[in-house]
Amino acid sequence: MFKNKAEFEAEAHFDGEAAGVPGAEAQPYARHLAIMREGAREAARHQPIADAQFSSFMAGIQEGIRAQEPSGYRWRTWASLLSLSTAALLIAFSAFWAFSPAQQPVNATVVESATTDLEDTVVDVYNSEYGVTTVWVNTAKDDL
Amino acid sequence: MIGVSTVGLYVLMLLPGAAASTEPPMGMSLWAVHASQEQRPEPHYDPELQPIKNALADLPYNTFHAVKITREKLPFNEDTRIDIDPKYTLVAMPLNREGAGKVKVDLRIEVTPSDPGKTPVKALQTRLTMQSRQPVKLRGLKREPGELVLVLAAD
Repeated sequence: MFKNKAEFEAEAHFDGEAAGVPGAEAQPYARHLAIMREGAREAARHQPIADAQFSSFMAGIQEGIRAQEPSGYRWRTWASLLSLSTAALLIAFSAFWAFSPAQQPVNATVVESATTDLEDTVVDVYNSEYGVTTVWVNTAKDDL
Repeated sequence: MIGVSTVGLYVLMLLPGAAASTEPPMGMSLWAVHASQEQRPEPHYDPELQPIKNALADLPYNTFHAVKITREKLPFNEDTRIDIDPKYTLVAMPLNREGAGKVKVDLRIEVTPSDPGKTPVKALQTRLTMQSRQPVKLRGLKREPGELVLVLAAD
């Protein structure tokens, strides 16, 4: 990078190598250098946060975050959480209803036991289409 | 003070025999049906079987003839024998009432042996709690062609 004469002059004054005031042509560059030096000093300055200051520090950060939130953000967050919870509950109830075994009507006939002495025969119990309890002597061969 | 007669009364009430003797008999209707498959365009039900038509509807037959229809009074804790036909006999014994129109019953279907000296074979022995006016169907008893079906309903 090539520097012009005004910049050399500003740098010389900035470093104290030249006496007096830099010329009008070198003034903007001299101000630019001064800003850079000030910035470097600020960056080098390390200011720790004491324990007593920490809550105020965090409060400031949270306040800044809230200030950046669009209006109605929190209400929308709660609404979406509510709808998600409702959907999850609906799915859970639907699954429970779909997969739980069919409840026998309270007034239905209950078969406690059913046996047979016939050979090659089993006894089945089922409810027919109209809910009639049926005990079926199911013979494999013509035993009866 | 509780007297001896009071204690005796309680003891008598707790005796099963005493309870059975006071229990009114159980009323039960029976339809014995011969179900078979015949060449006919529409299913046929004998007119007497109209009250139990729905109970028979799921059977793989299209012809239903009444074999025996009866209504019996069944005393509790006693066998009552009902002859269905020369081959089958239904033996019913109500055990106890379970409230809300429910009665626990032992049912047995016996096959009459060809040799009168032999013991009948139990084609079915079942214990069930019948709900009043709810039909129960017993099926699978061979009766050519087709099968014998019993429909029972407690009063």
